[in-house]
Parts: sequence; C-alpha cells; structure tokens
Amino acid sequence: MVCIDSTDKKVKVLVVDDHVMVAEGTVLLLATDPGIAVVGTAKNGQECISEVKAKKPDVVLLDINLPDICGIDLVDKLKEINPEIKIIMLTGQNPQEYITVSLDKGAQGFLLKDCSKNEMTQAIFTVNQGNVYFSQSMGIFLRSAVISKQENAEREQIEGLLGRTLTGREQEIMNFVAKGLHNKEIAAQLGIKTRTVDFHVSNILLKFGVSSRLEAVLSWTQGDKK
Amino acid sequence: MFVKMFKRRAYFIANAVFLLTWLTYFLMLFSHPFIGVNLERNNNHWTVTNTDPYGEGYKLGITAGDRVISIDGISTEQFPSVKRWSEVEGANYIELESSTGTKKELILPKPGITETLSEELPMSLLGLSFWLVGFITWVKRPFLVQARSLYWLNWAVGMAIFLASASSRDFILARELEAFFFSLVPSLLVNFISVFPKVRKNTLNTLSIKLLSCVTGLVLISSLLKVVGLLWITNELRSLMLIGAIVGSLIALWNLIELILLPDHKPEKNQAIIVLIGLAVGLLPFAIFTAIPIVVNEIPVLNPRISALFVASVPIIWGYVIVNKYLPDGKRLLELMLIYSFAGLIAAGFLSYLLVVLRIRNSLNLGVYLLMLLIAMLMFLLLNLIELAVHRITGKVVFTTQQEFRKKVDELNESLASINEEKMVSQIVNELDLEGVLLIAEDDQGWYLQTAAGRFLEDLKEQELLESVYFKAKNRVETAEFMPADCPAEVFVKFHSESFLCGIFLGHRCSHVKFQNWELPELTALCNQVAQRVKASHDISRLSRDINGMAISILETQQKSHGLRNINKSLFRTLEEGKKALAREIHDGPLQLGLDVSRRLKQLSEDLAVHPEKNDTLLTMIDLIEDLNYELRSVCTSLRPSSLNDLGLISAVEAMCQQIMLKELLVISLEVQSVARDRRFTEECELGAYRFLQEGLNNVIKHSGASRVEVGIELFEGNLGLLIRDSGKGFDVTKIDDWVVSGTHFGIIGMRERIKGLGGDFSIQSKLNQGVTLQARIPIK
Repeated sequence: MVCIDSTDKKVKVLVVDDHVMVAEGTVLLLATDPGIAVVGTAKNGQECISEVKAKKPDVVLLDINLPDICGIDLVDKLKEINPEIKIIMLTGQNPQEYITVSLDKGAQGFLLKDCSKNEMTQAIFTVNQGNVYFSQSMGIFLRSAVISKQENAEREQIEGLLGRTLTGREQEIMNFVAKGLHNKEIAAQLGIKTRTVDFHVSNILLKFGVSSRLEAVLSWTQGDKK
Repeated sequence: MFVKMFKRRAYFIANAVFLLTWLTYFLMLFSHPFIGVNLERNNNHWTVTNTDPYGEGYKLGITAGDRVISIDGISTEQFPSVKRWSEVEGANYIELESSTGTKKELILPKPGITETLSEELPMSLLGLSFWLVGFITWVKRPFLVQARSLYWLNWAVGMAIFLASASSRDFILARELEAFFFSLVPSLLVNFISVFPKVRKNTLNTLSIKLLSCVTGLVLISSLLKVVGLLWITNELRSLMLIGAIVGSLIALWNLIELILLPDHKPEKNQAIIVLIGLAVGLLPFAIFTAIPIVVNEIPVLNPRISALFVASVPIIWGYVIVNKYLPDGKRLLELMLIYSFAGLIAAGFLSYLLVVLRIRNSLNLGVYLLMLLIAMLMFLLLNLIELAVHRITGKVVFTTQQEFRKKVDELNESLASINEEKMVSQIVNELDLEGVLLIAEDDQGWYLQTAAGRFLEDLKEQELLESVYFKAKNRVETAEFMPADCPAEVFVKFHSESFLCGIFLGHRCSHVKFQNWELPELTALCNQVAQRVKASHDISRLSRDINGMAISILETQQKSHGLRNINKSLFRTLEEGKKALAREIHDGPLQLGLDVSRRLKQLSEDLAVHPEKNDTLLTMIDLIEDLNYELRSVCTSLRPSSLNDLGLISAVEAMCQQIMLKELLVISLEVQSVARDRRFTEECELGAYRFLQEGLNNVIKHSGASRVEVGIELFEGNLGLLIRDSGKGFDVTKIDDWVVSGTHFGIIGMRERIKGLGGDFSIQSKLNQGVTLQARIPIK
C-alpha cells in the first residue's frame, strides 16, 4: 500500500499462533496485501524455530502465549538464528507486563490481536524498515512501560500522539480521581464505559509523566494552584 | 496505766513486806525460847493445863496441874502473855508451885543458836519456799491469772507458816498477824482454785470467797480489838479460823473433784490430778507419820518439823502445773503412787510381823507398823534413785547395745540411698543382722510388689506363709506388731498412704536375741522410710508411664497436624490449578474468538467504508466486542496473571504494583534486593509469594487508609523474604486467633496457612494507628 520494500520485494512474514483460527485469519488478512508474503505458520515454539530456519522470514508475528514456550523467550532463540530478523509480539492478553521485556529482548513491535488489517500491515512495514511499532489501541497499556524506561524517543512519540494538556473529558475525569473515586465509579458517574475511563486515566498519567494515580492527583492539584 | 503500775507495785511491796517480816521474826527467834505452857484460871490461880513436849517448859519440868505464882516477878494476872493468851511466853523467870505443894523457881535460858536453827529453820524455810515458788511462778507467767492468784495464796501461806514459830513465842504482833494470814488463806485458796486451771467463777466459789473474806475481816477486827485490850476471847477466834480453813479446803476439794470428773481429753483434768498428787505428796507424810501417831497418843514416827517439809512439794507442783503447758500423764503418776503405797503397806505389814516373830519387838502396834512403812517407803525411794543412776551409767558405759542399735538404725535410715526395693531390703538384712526381710506393697489399682531378702528369698514356703499373714494383718495392724513365736518373721510393720499399702516383715536377729519393745519405734520408722521410698518409686514409674502416653498422643497430634498442613497445601494448589485452568479456558476460548470476531468486524467496517449507513451498527458491534475482550483479559489476569508463569515473580509483582498504582490512590515503593529480574523460583514458591503480596496489598487498600506502602522482596540464605509495611490504621494483633475461631478475615488466616504450608514463617506486627507490617519467609527449595 504505502510503503513497499525498497528492494521491491515482498516482505516475508511468518505467523506464529497456537490458535489455528486466529493464525488462519491473520494469514487471510495479510494475503490481500501485495507487499506481504506469508511464508508459513507455526503452532508452537518448536515449529517456529524450524520454520524460521527453513523459510528465513523477514518478520515474525509472534504470539506471546505458546503451549511449549513463552513467546518472549523465543525472541532470543530467533535472534540467535538470524540477528536481523524483525519480531512483532502479538498478544490477546493484557500486554503491559510484556512490553518492556519484549523490547529488552529485541522485539521491534507489539500488536494486540484484535488490531485491524491496516494496522497489522503498517506494523509489518514499519518494523521491516528497522523502526519500532506499537498497536494504536495499546496506549492504555503502553504508558507505564515507557515511563519506566524513560526512553526519550518513545516518550516523544507518545507525547506527540497524545499532546501535553488534558482534554476537557480528561479534566472532568481527573476531578473525580482527585476525589478518590475508582474508575468504575467514575464510569458510572459519567455514564461511559470503564474501559474508556481506564483509557483516559492512563493517558492522563502519561501526560503528567507519572506512574501512579496519586502522583497524578498531586500534579493535578498543584497545577490547579498555579 | 496507773492501775497497772499499782498492780506491779503491789507485788514489789508484798515481796518486801514478806522478806522484811520473815527476817525480823526469824532473827527474833534467837532472843527467846519457846516455852509451850498453857494455863487456865482456876480459883483465882493460874494452873498449867498442858505443856508442849517441844517447849522449854516441858524440858524444865513443868507439868500439868502446876500453879504459876509469878512471872518475871510480876503477878501472873498482870503478865501480858497470860493476860491475853493464857500462856507464859516471853517469860525469863517463872515461880510456880506443884500440885504437891513444892515451890519451883525456874530460870529460862537463852536459846542456843544451833538449837534454835535446828528447831525453827525447817518451818521458816518452808514458809520462805512457799513465797519463793509463788514469786517464781509470777515472774515466769506474770500475765496468767492463775500465776497471780497462786502468788497471793503462797504469800499468805508462807507468812502463816513462818509466823507460827514467832506467834508461839508471843512476839509482838506475831499472833495477830498469824491469825490474820491464817484466816486469809482459805479465801485465797478458793480464789486460786476458782481460776485454776481455768477461770470458773460460779456462784459457789464467788459466794464462798466473800464469806471467807468476811471471816478474815472478823479475825482482823477481833485481833485488833484484842491488841488494844477491848476483847479477851481466844478460843472462839481459833474456832472461827479453823472453820474458815475447813470450809475453804472443802470447797477447794470439791472444785478439784469436779475437774477430775471431766472427760479424759480435757487438759484441766490432768492438771487437777497432778495438783491432787502434789497435795498427797505434800500432806500424806505429815498426816501418816506425824499426825496419826499423835492422834493415837504414840510418839510421832517422823518429827513434825521434818514431815512438814514435804508440804513444800505442794506449791512446787502447783507452780509447775501453772508454768508448764505440757505435763506428764497424771493418771500414770497416780497409778505409780498407788502401786508404791500398796507395796509399802504390804511390806510394812510383813516387816513388822517379822519383828514381832523375831522378838525384836514385843507387840504389834501402830508405831512399829508406821515405822516400817516409813522404812519401806524410804527403801522404795532409794531403789528408784539407784535404778535411775544405774540406768544412766549403764546406758553410757556398760550396755551400749541400745545406743548401738539406735545408731545403726539411724545410720541405715540415712544411708538408704536407693529407691530400689531389693537393694533396700537386703541392706536392712545386712546392716541389722537379720535372718530375712519380706516386703509386700500394693495399691488400689491392682499393682502388687513382693521382694524378699535373706532367708525368705530362698524359702518360697515361708514367703507364701508370710503373704497369707500379710493379707490377714493388713487391715488389723495399725502400724507395727510383734509376730507370734511360730511365725518366721518377728516384727510386722505396716505403712499406709492414700491408696498405697506396704507391709514389711522383719525376720529374727541372727543372734537370736529377741527384739525389745523399745526397739519397735525405731524399726517402724526405718520400715516407713523404706515404704515411703517404694511408694516414691512406684509413683515415679506411674508418672513416667503417663508422660510416655502423653508424648505418644502429642506425636500423633503432630502427625495429624502435619497431615492437615499437607491437605491445606494441596488445597491451595488445587485452587491455583483451578484458577489457572479457568484463565486458560477463557483465554483460549471466548477471548480468542472475541479477538477474531473483532478483527473481522474491523476489516468489514474498512471494506464497508463506502456505505456509511451500515457501518454505524458495525462500529457499535466492534466497540461492544472490544469491551468484551477487555473484560475477559481483566478476568484472566486477576484469576491468574500469565506473566507470573512467563516472566517470573519480580516482573509479575512489578506489573501488579503498577496496575494498583494506576487504579488506586496508593504509592507503592517496591524494593527488590539480591534477586535478579529474571530469577525464577518454583511455581509453588512464586505463587505463594505473589498471592501473599497480592493479599497484603489488597488489605492495605481495603483497610489501612494509607497512601504509601513499602513492598520488599529479598533473597537470603535460601529463603525468600517478603515485606509489606504501611503507615495506616493498624489493628489489634491479638484478635487474629479470634478470627481463626470465628472464621472471619479469612484472607490473613489463609495467607498464614499458605506460607506455613510452604514451610515458611509468617508474622504480623501492628498496633492501633501505627500501621501494619506483614512479613513472610518462604524457603525457595
């Protein structure tokens, strides 16, 4: 679509997922993209390693949750086989805990399994060019990992994404947070979903550059005084 | 205070008066002899009625019927002694005419010192001893009313006694004083006996004391009247005093009889008996050896001056009874006295008969008999003294066996080192040179022990015989008994304590010398000591059995609780497995499906972008499904954080802390020491640690109200140390055990059980308003 490999060659992708349905769905989605060639699928770590050795993919879409091995641990092994290989972690779970570790191990991207086809192809192309990609709907999970790492590039990316000042909704939520209400209670008060409140709160923390709700409240009240 | 001082002063004055009077009159005795001539006015003449055989008059040859013409050159009529008492006391020179008409002129010599002393000292000393005994009793027991009344009684009696010699010489005021003191004695006697040995102020005693005091008053008044010369009665006064004395004695005797009739266990009875013995010992010699012969006109066997000395034993014994609380058995003393008396009576009869038969005496008369009685009694006394002396000497020098035996038994008693019955029994056999010893012990729970030594050890027949004797004797014998001659054992000693019963048979001595009565107490004591030790050993073995039983049951309990702990552990494991399975189920099933549906819908909505009217519904659906997936993820994570399995404890805890900080107004400072981020432990250990921290943090959020909490993870000596410390409200730690009972606050209890199940420790420290510190140690193996 947008970014085709400079060598004008299709990006070779390996899909690793123990859920056959998800794997097939992914293959189906990617098959429609002319720049991408799915070279194979694997159901577990063992298959993954042999596939990587045999098919030499450029990008591996790696599910964290595999029956025989944790996807994170597989990153090392794949990097051993091919240091240049790009890995995008794929997870259906709460990805928060995994982000930092995956990045440490050398994974380039992180996608939630319910991402759209566009996002997925964009991620594949981004990492294939040597950049880092995070799922757009991952802001909610991403913040703490980034904050704790304090990696400027990523932080700037996030800040660029979110801006520095709180939106009206965020201010409204922050008032409730300062009163000591929980997300569920705030959601009920505002008549919105808990997930939305969660999303807003994590964005707020990100904007304040803090890692805890309490710090956010402190920053918020101090800011008020100013 | 004043009364008290006066009371004490009264005693001092009484003592001084007594001593002064005594000394004065005693010294006066040397100035004048006792004449002892009684006169009677007859036809204007003073005629001698009788003469005292001890008096100087008798010695000078004055006989009844003589007429006294003048005394000291004064007419008889005018001589004060004759005038007042019809006596010639105080005279130096007497002129008289015998019935035959012969005139005699007698010059009374000054008494010699030796003579006077020999004649008058005994009575004076008797008087003094009465006072002295009273005085000593009072000094020893000044607060006893008995001692005080005895003092006054003895004071008066002593006065009366020593005044007798002075009054017989008609010294100045001596007669009046004697009369007064003599008349005082009965009331004081009744007064004494009414408080002795216990105060018994009944009407009879009170009344008689009053009456006798009146007699004293009467005597005093008439004496005074006599002194001033207004009254000239003599015999009536004597009769009055005598009546008083008789009445007082009878009442005193009645009181004593009352006391003696008391039941045996009353101490008053014994005291009264001893007082009675004192009276007998004091008065009988005088009565038998002096008074009776005089009454029947014989020569007294014993000079009254000597027999009167026995009277001193009366106050001594009375004083003794008052001063001492514990006394010898009066009945036995009485018995002894009766035995000696009867023996004396029989011996005297036999001896006097012998004298007559041997013609040493011509006829059998009372004088001879009494003399023999006196000799016999003296012999008994001598015999007793000799026996006492020999007993003492032999006890020390000649027959040391008694001492030796006692010593042996004492030594044995001390050297019984063992509580082993066999050793003790054979020790007795060896040390005491016995033929054999058999010990039988039993209790009410069917325990039975039989041990023999010496001859009984080999001879089973004898053992059987003694056993049957034991069963017969155990209920009959109190403490110890000599066995009949045909029994192989000589002594049987029984020991009984609570449910424990022990009988010990002591065989004959190897020397064939029989055991004596006096040896029985020592043997009993020794056997009791042995039995006591057997009991102790029996008690110890029973106790140790109990303790063993307890130890076994404790072990069983421990095993049971160990089993419970394992059950507990596997319970938690099952619970975790269940959560894990459920999380996986949700994750692999509905969540994956949801993800897939969501993705396909997104694809569809992109494809349908050109038809916005259909896309609306689709977007709503996508949103709903995303909500669903979000919720499912949360459920999975809270059920079982997959990161714990995948990334290990530290990462999972970090994530948990971040999650909490995001959701709650709580800042967690996590400090990890000497544990690498990717360090992995056993699943059980990681899970335990994770759940501990999770539960602890939940408690902090729910209960503490704190805004900060410290979480620590540390590795030390093969253990994982965990810490959660908040600065919140805290609680009363002592209530935890109540929670166990009431089943509330299961979180903390469960946490504790889980940690213990892993072989670790769990501690909780808190005080109200001082936060809570939870600590756990989990071994990592």
